[in-house]
Amino acid sequence: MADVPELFPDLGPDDEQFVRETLQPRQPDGPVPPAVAARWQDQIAQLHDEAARPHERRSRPQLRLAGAVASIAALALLAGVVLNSVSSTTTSPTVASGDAATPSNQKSVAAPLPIARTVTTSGLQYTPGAIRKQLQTLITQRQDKGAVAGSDPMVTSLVQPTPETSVGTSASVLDPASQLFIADEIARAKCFVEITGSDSRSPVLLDIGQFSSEPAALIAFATQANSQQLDIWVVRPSCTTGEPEILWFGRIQRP
Amino acid sequence: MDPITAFSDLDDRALMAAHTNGNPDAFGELVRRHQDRLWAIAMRTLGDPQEASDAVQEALISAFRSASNYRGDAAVTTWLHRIVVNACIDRMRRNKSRPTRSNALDLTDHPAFTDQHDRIDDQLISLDVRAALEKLPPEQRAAVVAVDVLGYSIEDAAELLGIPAGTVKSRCFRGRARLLPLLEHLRNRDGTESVTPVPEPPQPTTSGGE
Repeated sequence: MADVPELFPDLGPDDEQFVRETLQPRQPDGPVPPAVAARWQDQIAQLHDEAARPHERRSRPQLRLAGAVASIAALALLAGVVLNSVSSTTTSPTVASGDAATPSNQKSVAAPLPIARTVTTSGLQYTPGAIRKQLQTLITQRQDKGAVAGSDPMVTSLVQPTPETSVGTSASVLDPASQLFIADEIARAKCFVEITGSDSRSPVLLDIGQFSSEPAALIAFATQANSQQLDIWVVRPSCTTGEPEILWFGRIQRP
Repeated sequence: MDPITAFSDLDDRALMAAHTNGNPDAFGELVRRHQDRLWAIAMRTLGDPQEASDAVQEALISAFRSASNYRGDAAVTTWLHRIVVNACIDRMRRNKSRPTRSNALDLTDHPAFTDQHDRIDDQLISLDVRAALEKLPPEQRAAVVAVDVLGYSIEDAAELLGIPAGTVKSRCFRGRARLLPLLEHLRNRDGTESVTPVPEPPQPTTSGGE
C-alpha cells in the first residue's frame, strides 16, 4: 500500500474520520418494495420453468415409442369419427369436440380465475396472520358463487360477516375513498399500475375490508409466471389517487 | 401448502440443499428471507432503485444457477451478498460510460425510501453522498459502501468482496481520499466544528513561461 500516501497525501486522520461519519446512512435501510420483490419471485419462477424444460426434453426419447402408439390410435379414432360423421347425418359434432376438450389423461389444473371487474365488500378484518386463509376462503366462495366477469353485481357481498373476522362493513357506510375505489374503474387502474409497475395485469379479486382496523382494499393478481399463485396487495383505498400506501404484500397458492 | 409455512423450520443451508435437490419453492423462500438485506446492499452500492432491482435480479439468476457450486464454506447469506455485490460491481463497470438511469422505475416516493420525519437536511446530505460515491471506481465504491455505509468489519467485508483484508483497507482509504473533496462542503454544516480551510489547488503554469 505504499502507493496510497503518494497518491493521496492529504487525507489525515481527521479527514478520514469526517468522511466516514459523513457516509453513515441518514436513513435506515427500508424493506424491498413489494413490486420489486414480486418481480424477483417471478424471475425465480421462470428459472424453475426453464430448469424443468430440459428434464421434459430428456424424458421425451423414452416416451417416443408410447407417443407413436398413441398417434396411431388417435389417427384410427379420428378416421372412425370421420367415417361415422360421413355415414350418419345425425352425428352431433359436440360429441367429438366434447371428448377432445376433456381427454382422460388431462392434467387437472385449475382454470384461470376470471378478471374481477367489480369490487366485493367483505368487510373482513384482514390480519397479517390470517390473511392467507381469509383470501383463500374469499376466492373459493367467489368461485362457488360463480362470480365471473360480467355477471357480478356492482358491489357483491360474498362473505357473511362474523364477529371474529368482520367489522360488518356494508357499501353504504364505507368511507369516501373506499366508495371511490368501488365506483371508479379508471382510478382503480391507476392504482394497479402504481403497485405492480405494469399496465397489463388485471386483478382476479378486489375486496374492501379492513387491515389493522383501518379501511383497506385488497387486490389479487395471478402471478405472472405461475397462474396457480396469486400476488396479494393490501393497500389503502385511497390508492386511486395514484399514490398507493401498501399495507401488506404476499404470495399464496390458489385454492 | 404455503411455502412459507412449509419451510419455516429449515435453516438457510437446508433450503439450499432443498433447492439443489429440485424443490421448486426453496430458493424463493431463501430470497424472501434475505431480500431486504440484498436490496439494501444493492441500493447503498448503486444508489438507484432501478439499477439496484436489476442488479439483484441478475444476482439471483446467477445464484439460482450456481447453487450446486455452493460448498458451504461460507454462510449462505455471505454467499448471496457476495453475488449481489459482484453484480453491482458489474453494473457499475458497464454503466461507466453512460449516465445512471433515472426514474425508469421511480420508487423514490415509495415508503421504503422516504421517511417524512427525516430532516430535509439529512436528505440533502444523502443525495450529496450518493453523488460522491458514484464518482468512485466500482471496486473502491464497493469497499467503501461495505465498510463505511453498510457497517461491515474489514474482515467481513473482505469475505463479502472476496478479496484480502489488506486490499479492503487500501481501497477504503483511497476511496475516502477521493471522497474528501467531494464531501468537503458538508463539513461544519451544524457549526460545531472548527472550519478547516480547503487548500487552494495549485495554479497551472502558463505556457508563456517556457
